[in-house]
Amino acid sequence: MGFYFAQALTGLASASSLFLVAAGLSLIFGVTRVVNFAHGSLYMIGAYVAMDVIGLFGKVPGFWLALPIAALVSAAVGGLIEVTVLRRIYRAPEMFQLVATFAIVLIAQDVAEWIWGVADRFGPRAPGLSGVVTIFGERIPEYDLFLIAMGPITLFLLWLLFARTRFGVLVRAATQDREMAAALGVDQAKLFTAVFCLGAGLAGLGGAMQVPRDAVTLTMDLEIIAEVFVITVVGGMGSIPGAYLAAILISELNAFGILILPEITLIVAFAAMAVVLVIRPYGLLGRPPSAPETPPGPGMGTLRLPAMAWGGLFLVMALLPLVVDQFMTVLIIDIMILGMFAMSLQFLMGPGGMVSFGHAAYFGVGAYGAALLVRHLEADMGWALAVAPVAAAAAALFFGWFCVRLSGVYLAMLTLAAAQIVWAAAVQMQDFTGGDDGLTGIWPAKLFGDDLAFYYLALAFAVIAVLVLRQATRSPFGRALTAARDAPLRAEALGINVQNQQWMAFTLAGTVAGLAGGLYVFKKGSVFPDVLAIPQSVDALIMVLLGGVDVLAGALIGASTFVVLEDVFNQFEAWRSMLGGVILLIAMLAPGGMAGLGSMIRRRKPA
Amino acid sequence: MSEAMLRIEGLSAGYGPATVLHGISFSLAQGDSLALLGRNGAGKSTTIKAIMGLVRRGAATLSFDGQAIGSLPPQKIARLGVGYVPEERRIFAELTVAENLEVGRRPTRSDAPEWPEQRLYDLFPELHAMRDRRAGRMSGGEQQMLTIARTLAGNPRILLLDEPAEGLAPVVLDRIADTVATLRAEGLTLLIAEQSLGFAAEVASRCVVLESGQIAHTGDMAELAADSALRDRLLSV
Ligand SMILES: Nc1ncnc2c1ncn2[C@@H]1O[C@H](COP(=O)(O)OP(=O)(O)OP(=O)(O)O)[C@@H](O)[C@H]1O
Ligand SMILES: [Mg+2]
Repeated sequence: MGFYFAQALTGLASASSLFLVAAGLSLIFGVTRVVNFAHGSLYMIGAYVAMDVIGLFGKVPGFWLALPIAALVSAAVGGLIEVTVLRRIYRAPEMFQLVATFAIVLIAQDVAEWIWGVADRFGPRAPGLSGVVTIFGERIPEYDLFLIAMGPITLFLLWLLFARTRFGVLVRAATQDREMAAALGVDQAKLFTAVFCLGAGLAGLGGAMQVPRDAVTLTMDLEIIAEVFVITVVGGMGSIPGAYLAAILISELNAFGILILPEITLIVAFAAMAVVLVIRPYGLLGRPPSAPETPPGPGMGTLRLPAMAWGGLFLVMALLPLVVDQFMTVLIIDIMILGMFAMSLQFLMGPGGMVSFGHAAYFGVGAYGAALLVRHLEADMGWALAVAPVAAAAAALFFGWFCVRLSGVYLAMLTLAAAQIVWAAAVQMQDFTGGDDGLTGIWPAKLFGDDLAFYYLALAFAVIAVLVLRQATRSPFGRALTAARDAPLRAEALGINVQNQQWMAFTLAGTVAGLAGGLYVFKKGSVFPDVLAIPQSVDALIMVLLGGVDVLAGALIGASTFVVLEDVFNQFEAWRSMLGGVILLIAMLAPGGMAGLGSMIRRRKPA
Repeated sequence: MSEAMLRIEGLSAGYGPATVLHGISFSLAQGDSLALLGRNGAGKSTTIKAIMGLVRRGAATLSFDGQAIGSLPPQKIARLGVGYVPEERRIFAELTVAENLEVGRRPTRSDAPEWPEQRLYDLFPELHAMRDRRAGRMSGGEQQMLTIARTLAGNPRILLLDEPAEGLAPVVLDRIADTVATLRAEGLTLLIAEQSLGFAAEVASRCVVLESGQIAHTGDMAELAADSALRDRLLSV
């Protein structure tokens, strides 16, 4: 009995910090409609600043100064981010906002490494709260009790702010109808900056509060963001009490899930999320968005490369190895593999109208599927490459069933959570997947051991991928899909089963991603959990963004640009920031991507 | 001409790539009351939204009190004293009645009538009884009162009313018409969009009739009301 009680308290204590971060994310989303990937960075900054303050002032009074100072610094950084970046992209499609905030994650990682170094840091116990109290015969850390109290206190203060102040009233009004609030003289720009600062401050406070419990590391930004996404989605985007409930629910499930399934606690969280979302698609306390979500951009998926152009492109590709050197040949293989991955995402996002934050799951399942077959069953390359897309299709079929029940950012965040599960499984099932050490020595069959032969294999696969995706877009299935994307209600009325179409599209996109993943393993000779991680998913988004979401061919342009940029930037220490900077520039200057650049210029002229 | 409070010259406006207003010009002097008439889809709402900066505008001369507002964002235009009462009402459904009024509240100004909370409740006593009710749970007529009160809370110098009578029961309509007449008597400048004569005829002294985004007629309100042939040509459906 006492043990379970103690475990429940541990869960509640973990919930507090998560709640603060999730409340900030939810608040920012509620008002600005931006899902802020960089929220994890603000949490990380809070933790590091807290460490610095403690170092400067000593444990007493350092620790107690650290909490407000960390909150203020994160709030200031948040304000800076809002004014310099987000303000320019409020009207851009979700994908751009997400990718732009991810670019901030990249830059923040470099800056954090530069300021604080790579070594993990361990904070001191909280002064005055370093003891334990005995409840029901169990020893409970005093600091846990402090954390448990912080949750409801913060909830209450936020409630006061939103229910009882003019600022709160204006924020709630702007959340419902920005335009009307503006027409009444409300200065949204200031309001948004203030909300962003508040949300960022909460993240910073959450980070500082974790210092006595967890190590402060450079990876804590992305580690927390997946969990926080789950919490905001379960609680209902934009609902702060919902975030609190969900933080408690997920933390308790983690606290007890660890007893049952010590390996894979994320699966428990995902299962909980899946159940909640199937019953309440907008989360525990969320509401469906009042205005229909803005349809993707104008003219989405309308640009097409004629068959002739594709034929020409592939002809050039077939002849290229004859004129370029081996280095280029290898680089182009990379481009083709990532290009297939990006095209599958383009298909999902363009004609399918579904933005995925977790497309790496299917690329990775394909890669692992092939590698595991070789490792455990000693299968040859042919079998492995045949199984890769099938395994990915199965995963996409499974996760897709849940995902297509939602739309917009909810769908996107669910895909991210799905990818995190697969990632966690790959990391934690050591004996089967090799864990962090991955699977190595997966080399291609003799016939394809040579770069040139592998080049033509990859080219053949790319041709297949293009034919399949292009045909799918043009077929009745593709037309039904775009109809469902543009006007879901009308499509339903015409007898189109929207969810089914989207489910099939999700599965098809996953299958093609898996095919690319299978090739990838044999190209690299190894596979690590990284292929399933958030950055891999975001890479695909960046490629689609670079090329423009309108055209299948855009994904190829995006993949080429990406591979070349990465190759160039990799030589520099600050390559992440450089990549982040390029992404920010493109997101702010050319929201149509490079393929959309032409049409954008043409559209601008008459105005 | 220089004493015009709101001056619109060659206004074009539209949504996305479509242009729906083609070069509209008219102006209002302080204390004027103008009816903006026209059939369904003629462009009345678009004209009002263009004044507020809520739709894409072409390079027109738009000025309020001598200040160019053609490229100002909505909140700046509102802060100059332009009050907008939208056709769709757009109350904040999740907020209470009192909170809705709070959103509209702006500092008082010397050149416009003042609307402290109590005065708004005197104008619409039913709102006072429901001040803590969520605005989404009110009837259409009550919502219309709230929209007007919310805009008045900003102490505007000019009121842009977009079909304030639409869909209202006759009793409520009379209340609204009385209110608007009172506002006019107080010297508030009014621009009222209506599909047909409606109560604009009782309040307005001049009228502008739109047809397919262009001005089809400008004149005296009383003249239009008296001339049934002209009315049929311009407004009948
Ligand atoms: N959001 C919009 N997007 C595209 N076109 C629009 C939009 N709103 C209005 N229009 C078009 O602009 C034209 C003018 O519309 P507007 O709403 O200004 O007319 P109105 O005179 O107010 O009509 P009503 O009496 O029905 O309110 C119409 O042809 C309409 O179809
Ligand atoms: Mg209208």
